[in-house]
Amino acid sequence: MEDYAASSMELAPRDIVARAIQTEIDNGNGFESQYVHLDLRHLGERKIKKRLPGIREISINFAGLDPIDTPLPIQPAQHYSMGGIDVDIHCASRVEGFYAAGECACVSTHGANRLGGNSLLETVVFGKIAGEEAAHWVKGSSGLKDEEKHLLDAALEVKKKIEERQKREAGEKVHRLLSRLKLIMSDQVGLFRNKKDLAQALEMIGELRQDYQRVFISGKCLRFSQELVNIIEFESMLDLAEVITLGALNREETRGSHYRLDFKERNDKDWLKHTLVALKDGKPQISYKEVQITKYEPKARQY
Amino acid sequence: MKYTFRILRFDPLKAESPYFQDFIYETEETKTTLEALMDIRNEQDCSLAFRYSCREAICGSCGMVINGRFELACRTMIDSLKSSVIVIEPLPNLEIQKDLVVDMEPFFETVRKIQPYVFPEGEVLDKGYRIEDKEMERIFQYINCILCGCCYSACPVASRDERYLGPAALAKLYRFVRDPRDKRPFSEWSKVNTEGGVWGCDTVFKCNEVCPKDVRPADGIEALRRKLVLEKTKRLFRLKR
Repeated sequence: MEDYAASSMELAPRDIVARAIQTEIDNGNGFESQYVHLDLRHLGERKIKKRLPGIREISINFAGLDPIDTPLPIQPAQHYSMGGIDVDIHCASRVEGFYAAGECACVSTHGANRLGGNSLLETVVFGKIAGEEAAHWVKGSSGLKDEEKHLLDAALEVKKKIEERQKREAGEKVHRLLSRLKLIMSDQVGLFRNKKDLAQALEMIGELRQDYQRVFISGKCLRFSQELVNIIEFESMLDLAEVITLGALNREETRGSHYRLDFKERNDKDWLKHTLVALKDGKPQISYKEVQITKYEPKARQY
Repeated sequence: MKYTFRILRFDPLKAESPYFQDFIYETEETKTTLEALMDIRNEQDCSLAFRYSCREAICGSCGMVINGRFELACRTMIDSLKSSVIVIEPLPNLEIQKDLVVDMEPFFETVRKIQPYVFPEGEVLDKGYRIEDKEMERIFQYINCILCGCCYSACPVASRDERYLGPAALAKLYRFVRDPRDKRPFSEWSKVNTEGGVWGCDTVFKCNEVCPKDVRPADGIEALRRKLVLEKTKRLFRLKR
């Protein structure tokens, strides 16, 4: 890690460590061209058992290796989604009565790179706020106009879709579509991004959307059907994948974990702003929101 | 490697008895039992039902019986089973809802009954409630419980007596009673001073044997018994004086 973050080394922020690992693997310095080693042996048995019991357990269970005696094979993976449903400090979204907290939401506390441990902030602080605020809204509200009708209409629409897909004798299987989407997102919208890959990814997501129209439910029993859950979730995944890719393509700079090989520098002059995406006439439309700077001025990241 | 997965199938809504169905599964990779089940479902039978969520042995959703052992499917490597036939059954003593999915509600109800949260005392402290390292070490074992239900399902007492709270709930109660931040009144937690509570345990230690997180719930039940007797004795002497 000396070459990447001389003073922080392995304790540098996770985006930097992740890129460092992948760079070494890409340069042919990995083991089996796939991974590098994380060596915890210097910590000693006592410290590992006391401070890192969870890590040790995962290593033993999944890799069959004990970090007390053996370095661990590691590689970068998607871990947390920064950004999400745009909510204010009360966890209220722009849709009245709709609150969000946690990884799905974006109160904008994390910026472009969440620090380790800060996910607790989402659960402990904003989970509580969202719950209180939503309850407060329900008590104080006389309800939305025609709310029951809207809900019923939406539910009927989902039901109709499910029935259609169940009637089909053949078509696309959702787990295959899901595998394709995973590959696109990790290969082309992952650690290292560039215009060509991102533009191509957008097209491929469009193709997936076409193929998704032909999706069918192969298991005829819908009770405890993970296939059905996947089908419903996949539609939202397509929307999210498109939004993420579109935002990444549009943002011609590098910021936090968003790393553009064709724009390697952070550009505060043009890009110190949030990208917002909303659906308009069935198409995602980009707008921007200013960043509120209070106590801490943005400065160059040095580790 | 070529495996035969012999999986218990059952749909209570159909007029059929539970039966085993064989699936042939081939893989050259190191796979977990959960990954194999997902591949079988995706490629061979999408109606095969089982629960899972985190895939890293912390959510406790995929408890099942694999070749006779209570295990979490997500952390059980199929090559570690050293057998080309892998028999998979749902957790016993809980109603099957479909295939490997069982009704966990009776189990969760036992956990709710012991009120599994800290009862603080006095004003809410701005600094939060602190706990010393050494106190934490005493209860750490029980904090590891991920509510997978393996112990409850394996417990011979829980399977014959529905009043019995079972290992996970009682061990969890001990975790709170032992926590210096918890000030629940004796009158509250001593409700387990019954046959349906701590005295129901047969001390056959099935729970200790099957727990995938090494919680050793029976240790907690025994500790709770000792604490109960101690508190009762203290109260007796106080009364006499």
